[in-house]
Amino acid sequence: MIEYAPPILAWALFLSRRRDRDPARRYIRWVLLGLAVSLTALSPAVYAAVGELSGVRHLARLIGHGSMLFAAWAGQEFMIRITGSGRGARWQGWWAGGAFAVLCLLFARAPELLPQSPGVLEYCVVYLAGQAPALGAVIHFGLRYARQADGVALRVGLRLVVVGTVAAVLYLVNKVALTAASRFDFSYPAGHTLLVSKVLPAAAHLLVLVGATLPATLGWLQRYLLYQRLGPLWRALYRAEPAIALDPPGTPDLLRFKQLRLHLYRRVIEIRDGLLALQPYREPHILATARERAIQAGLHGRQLHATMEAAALVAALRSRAAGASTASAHVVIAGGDDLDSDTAFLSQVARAYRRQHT
Amino acid sequence: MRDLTLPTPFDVRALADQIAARRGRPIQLIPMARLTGVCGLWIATDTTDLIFYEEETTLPHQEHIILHELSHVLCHHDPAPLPLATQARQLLPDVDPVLIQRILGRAGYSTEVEREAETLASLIRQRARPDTGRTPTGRLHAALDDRGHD
Repeated sequence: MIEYAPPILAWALFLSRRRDRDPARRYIRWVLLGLAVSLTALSPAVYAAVGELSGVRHLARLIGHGSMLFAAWAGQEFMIRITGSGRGARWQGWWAGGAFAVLCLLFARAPELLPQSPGVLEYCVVYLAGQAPALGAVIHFGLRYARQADGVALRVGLRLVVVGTVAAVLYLVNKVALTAASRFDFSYPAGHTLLVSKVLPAAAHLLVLVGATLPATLGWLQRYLLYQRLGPLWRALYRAEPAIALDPPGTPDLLRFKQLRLHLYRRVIEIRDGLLALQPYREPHILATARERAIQAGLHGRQLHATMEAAALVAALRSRAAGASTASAHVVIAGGDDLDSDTAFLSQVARAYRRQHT
Repeated sequence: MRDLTLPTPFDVRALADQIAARRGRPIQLIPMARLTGVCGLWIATDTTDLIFYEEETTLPHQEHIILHELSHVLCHHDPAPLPLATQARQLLPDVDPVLIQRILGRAGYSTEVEREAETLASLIRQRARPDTGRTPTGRLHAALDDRGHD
């Protein structure tokens, strides 16, 4: 069953990305689609089924190779969009398409695809040549931008894609060497080892799939964790001021997997609405006391402000429950200047609130 | 919402200018501390749309409050209840009440128009893209991070 893991993973990653009008994101979807179709066609059950249904035993291999050419071309188009270099884009499309047409002709001549069959060496050479410019571009630009990227997820993701692409090139070169050994009758035992024939292509697919989707996966995970972390703070404010919620609590936080960007945004805005509603209950002396204690505890920067905000919130919630509003002359606004930094700040407030509340 | 061209990077003031130009009526954004009972207010006079927003909160929250009021404008929502008219007279003592045509405030989502405006404001903010298109690494991050989606 392990051989079905790569196609299942590829389809899951493809389906997790929605359609988008943005060309770069569209090409990423097409890379995933090409890999998913190729891996599916080359999986044992589908391979056998396609052969049986079509009457052409190795037709699935041609489909798999065509899909891989498509994935490589889409990867190259993606890099062209990103780098803004449109030179030769049309030529690359014709190159990949032409390579597939030649593969079809060669396949028609030698559908058995055995290493010693006539035309198989040419088939492997054309398959390698059809992908070489695209794979070269992915390796070149991937290495360059992995060095320049400022986020860890993007840096690591690009490097995984580069390593996976290098593995794919090595595998293709090995196939050419194997068929050449058979055609010209020389010894090439290294080409038959498990490492080169099985591990290398599996690793290539896996690394490209994981690398291309790592930034999105880690971004989703970060939003999921932030959403969970803000939960107790949001619920405390919702209990005090139910009007802050656009929608009443429904799905448990742990089961909130979809539309996380929107839900996280709503949670931040509703927390801010709740904090605003509690302003008449905030007491300035609480902030001063909290500040002294936090400084004594060695806190500084955003963590200091988050701890003070949590202390003010706990006291304001108590005052509100007791119905004792105060007429504070000056309100200190603590938080971030943009959505990301404000979300990060509120998550620190939520953590401090949990500590102080319990 | 599809017809709106959102500024990149997102700037709610530029969006307000765009909506004002489309309607042929100026929109004024006016910060104000401690609006009673609401944190945003849209007052439509005979010539101008005035949007008051709470200033004693963070910038992203102010931005959302303005977006909520702009959503009322975009949805052509109708006037609000009397207590807000009283508040409008306090905020604009020099304006003849006869000239005030529409008033809507942001305070909870118990009515359909408030829910609609709040939902539209959230969706507009989700559609806004960060300014990542200037460098290849920024474009790479935006594309691979699947920004704009989950």
